[in-house]
Amino acid sequence: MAKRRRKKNAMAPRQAKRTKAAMMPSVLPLPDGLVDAVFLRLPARTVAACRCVSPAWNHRLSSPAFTEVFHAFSAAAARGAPTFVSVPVDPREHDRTIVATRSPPGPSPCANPFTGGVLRLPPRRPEWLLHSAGLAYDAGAGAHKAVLLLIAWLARLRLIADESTTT
Amino acid sequence: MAAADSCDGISTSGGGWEKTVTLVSSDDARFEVREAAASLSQTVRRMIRAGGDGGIPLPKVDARTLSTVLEYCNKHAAVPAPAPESSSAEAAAVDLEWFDKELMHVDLATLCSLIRAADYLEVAGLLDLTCKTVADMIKSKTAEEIRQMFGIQNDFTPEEEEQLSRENAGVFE
Repeated sequence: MAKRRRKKNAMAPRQAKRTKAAMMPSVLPLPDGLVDAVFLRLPARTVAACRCVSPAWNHRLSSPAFTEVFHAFSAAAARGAPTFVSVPVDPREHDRTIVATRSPPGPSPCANPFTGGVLRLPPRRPEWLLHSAGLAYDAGAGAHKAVLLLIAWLARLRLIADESTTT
Repeated sequence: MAAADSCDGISTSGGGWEKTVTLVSSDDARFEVREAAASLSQTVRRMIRAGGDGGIPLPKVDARTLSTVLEYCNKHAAVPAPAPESSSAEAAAVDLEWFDKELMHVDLATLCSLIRAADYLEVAGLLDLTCKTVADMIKSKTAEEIRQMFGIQNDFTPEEEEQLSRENAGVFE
């Protein structure tokens, strides 16, 4: 591993020359606010790839400030007026009541009125698969949560949210 | 002709009903534009309201960039208010989309100066279009491809790189 690294470093001067020739600053040749304007329009998966580009990019794209703006922007970009769906749950069985919204066709937000937490649910698979799972970002807690959606014929929706490591 | 008299900040064209304004770029090039088109820029709109003689100075935008911005404004201002669900409105939308696409066939440096200009001039539609275009250039590329595109050196230490790939394991499957 160390050997390979040294070999890679030997190539660095050539790369450095090219970088200098292009006169590129550390992130993009744009003021900070406009750099964010570009990154906000990327899908989350690409943002992850961008973090691996350089320490400067990683630092910028991992900052809580950017994460917050990014999620707010993607939420605003999701079109379609949501409709509210309340789900009756047995209070003895569930310690949290959940208000879900249904907005066509993308991921829908889901709120817990007791904690004030709002989750944007991951995309659902077709209903005949009965369940789907994915990650949802909780803006209030600043953490990603693992979400399992169970869809039954009686419109019973149960949400199990586990705290998972935040990025 | 009154239209030729571009020295006035706000002059009336020969037609007598369509107002034009003169915009002056950082390198002193003068552009005469219909007010309706120039008003797509909130910055210019405010300056028109404030009034003034001798054209509107835009010291942060050079002539080359400004001409592209104005091309966008002229095209977008010419589009009448959309009558929903009429076939002509649909055709106009398709035409506009095609126009935007063609306008964005420029290199990254030009795109970046367009983003700066759209931000300074506050042309919301153009800012969105240019940012989206750069985002699309980045989209679906690997970290190494992005480095090549922007001429960025990979100066992660091996430890940092290992940690990142651990964190992102699963994302790139």
